[in-house]
Amino acid sequence: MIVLWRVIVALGIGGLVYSAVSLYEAKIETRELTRALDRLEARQQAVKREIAALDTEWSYLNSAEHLYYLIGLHSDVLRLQERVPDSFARLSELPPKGAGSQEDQQ
Amino acid sequence: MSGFFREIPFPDQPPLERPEQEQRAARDTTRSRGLLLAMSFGLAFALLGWRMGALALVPQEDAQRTAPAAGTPDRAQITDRHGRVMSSTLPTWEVALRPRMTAKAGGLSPDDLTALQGIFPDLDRNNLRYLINSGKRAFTYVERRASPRQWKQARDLGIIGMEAIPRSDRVFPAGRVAAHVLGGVDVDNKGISGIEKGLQSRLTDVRVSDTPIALSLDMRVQNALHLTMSEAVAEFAALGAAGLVMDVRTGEMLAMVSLPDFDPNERPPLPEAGTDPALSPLFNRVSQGIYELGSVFKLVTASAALDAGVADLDTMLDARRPIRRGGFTISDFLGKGRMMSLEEVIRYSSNIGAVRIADRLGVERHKAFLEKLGLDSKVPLAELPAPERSAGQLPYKWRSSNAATVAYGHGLAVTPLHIATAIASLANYGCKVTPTLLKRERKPTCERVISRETSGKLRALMRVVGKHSSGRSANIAGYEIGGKTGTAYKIKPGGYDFDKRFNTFIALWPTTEPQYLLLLSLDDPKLLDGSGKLPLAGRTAAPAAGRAIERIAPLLGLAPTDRFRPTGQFVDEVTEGGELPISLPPLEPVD
Repeated sequence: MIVLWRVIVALGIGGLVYSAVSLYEAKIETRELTRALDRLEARQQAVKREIAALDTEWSYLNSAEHLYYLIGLHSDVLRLQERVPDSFARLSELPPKGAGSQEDQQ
Repeated sequence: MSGFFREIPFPDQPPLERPEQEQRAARDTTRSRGLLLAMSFGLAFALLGWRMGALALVPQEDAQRTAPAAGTPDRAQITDRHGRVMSSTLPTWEVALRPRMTAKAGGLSPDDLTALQGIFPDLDRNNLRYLINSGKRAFTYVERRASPRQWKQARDLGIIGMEAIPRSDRVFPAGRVAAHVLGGVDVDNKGISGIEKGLQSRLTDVRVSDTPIALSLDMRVQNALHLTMSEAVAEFAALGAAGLVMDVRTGEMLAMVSLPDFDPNERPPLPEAGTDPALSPLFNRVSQGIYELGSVFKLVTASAALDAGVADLDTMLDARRPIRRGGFTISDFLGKGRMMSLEEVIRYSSNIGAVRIADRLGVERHKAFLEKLGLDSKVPLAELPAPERSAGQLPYKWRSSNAATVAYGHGLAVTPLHIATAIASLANYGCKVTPTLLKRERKPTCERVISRETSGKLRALMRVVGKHSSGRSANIAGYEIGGKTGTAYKIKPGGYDFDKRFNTFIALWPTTEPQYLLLLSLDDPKLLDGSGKLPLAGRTAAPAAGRAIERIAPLLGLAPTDRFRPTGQFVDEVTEGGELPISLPPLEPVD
């Protein structure tokens, strides 16, 4: 009986030590994973910031003021016109594909 | 040897063996202590096992996870309804110098100063040199909003005492086009006006700061309206202008422009004390400025009478001669001097006729109708901060003379947004419209303010003006433009200034199936064409509105109806619910 009791106590102590070691390892591993996650999140935020900056730059490049400036610079080549009600046409009214104006063909 | 260890009892001592009872008691004590120890260990094991199980199986909410990670944008982006960025936060640096530390290290060489000025063009190099030489300041900013590239260049100069503090800055890539809607932020990135202030809590909520706020604005429409209004202000030498485009089906504001405006990236200072704040570029004329808007109010008066059943489109009203109310004579600008139907009162914009309609309506019903439309309340644009939303000013005492002037839009002052919202509600089949600057996903439910039939009559009246009367310069072919002009004298201390006008045109299209409403007001426009004609709304605000519609309608995907109706014919009498209640014979045009 005493022997059995001692075995149980020994197993208990062994289990306790094993649990403590496992818990410590789990804690360390969790901490490492948390740090890795933080790094990933920081990277994600940095990428999001870069995307936001690119979106903003794209928005600036597409701002009306900038586009009018560009149109003014290249008006002789692009010959862009505002969209007006007369810009709408039926499909049947469109010229055949590839048929440009006489000037374009020259 | 064995005898050496033999126990020799002392004769006077009691026997060493304890009594059996004591031995049993001692064994029991030991056993109970052992049991207690075992239970303690068992409990400790159980707690340990439970905690390990919890750690392993149940996902724990780490306190650090709820806090924003380093580098999280502190304000959400603002976009237009199609996702175009209108306002965004970008990383910047505050570059500073510790002059005493720099002085101890030998100061700045002329080359350093030249290089610094090359990096920061606005730098006051003389002031910086003075601060270093005098040693009066321990700390000074070199640049509050330096880009990452600027800071890198400055850092590479290796100046002792120069340092930088990371921060973030709000930038507005569209510039001044939507300045009054977006507003601005202070140096701490806290909203101080416009949407930036009105939605401050939502913009800074860390849980949703990654999700942009989508406004109802369409930047294409906003640009077109801004451009047209800028051209109109220049053409008519106006002091300023207010304009908006609204989707009457949902109340979404597609554009809102106030001129003069400002660049939110370089916000101007607040107006000085003693100056008129309404002349400041920061002043929002659409939602903040209250004005007497003149004859556009005749649409409200007519709608009230039609809905109350006290008049119909063919009701004849006496407009033969001016009438006197409260010591004032009320007359028509270009009077016909005859009996007029209600339709003609609107077509020819008769003040006398409008007073006759108000007389039929009665003061109480008239007042109640204006209040039902919210004209006495603050502008219902909840996204803007309260100081940027003015309340309409109705007469303090409603006498018959007040009701008479209110009938044709004098003696009460509202914002352009007030009247736009009211007309939108009347035209939207009689369903109340609540304007918003946020994108709406679904059409709101109908809260009726007038009957559907009255709404049809109102749209018919607007179409009459748009096609044959003072609004015909805004009648873009194929879009069934309806509208109403309003020319009001501006107020000066002691009365009206008969040389200065506030001109408004309010347009609705298509009138048979209302979708969009445009309002355009010009403050004190002048006709500079040498014609000598008076600068009425039909000659200033209406043609400007027409140019705006010509630009905006195609952007909204609206093809002209005269070319794309199945019949190939423009039929402006057909409506979703039947026919507009009157035909539109061409009559003599008026200004």
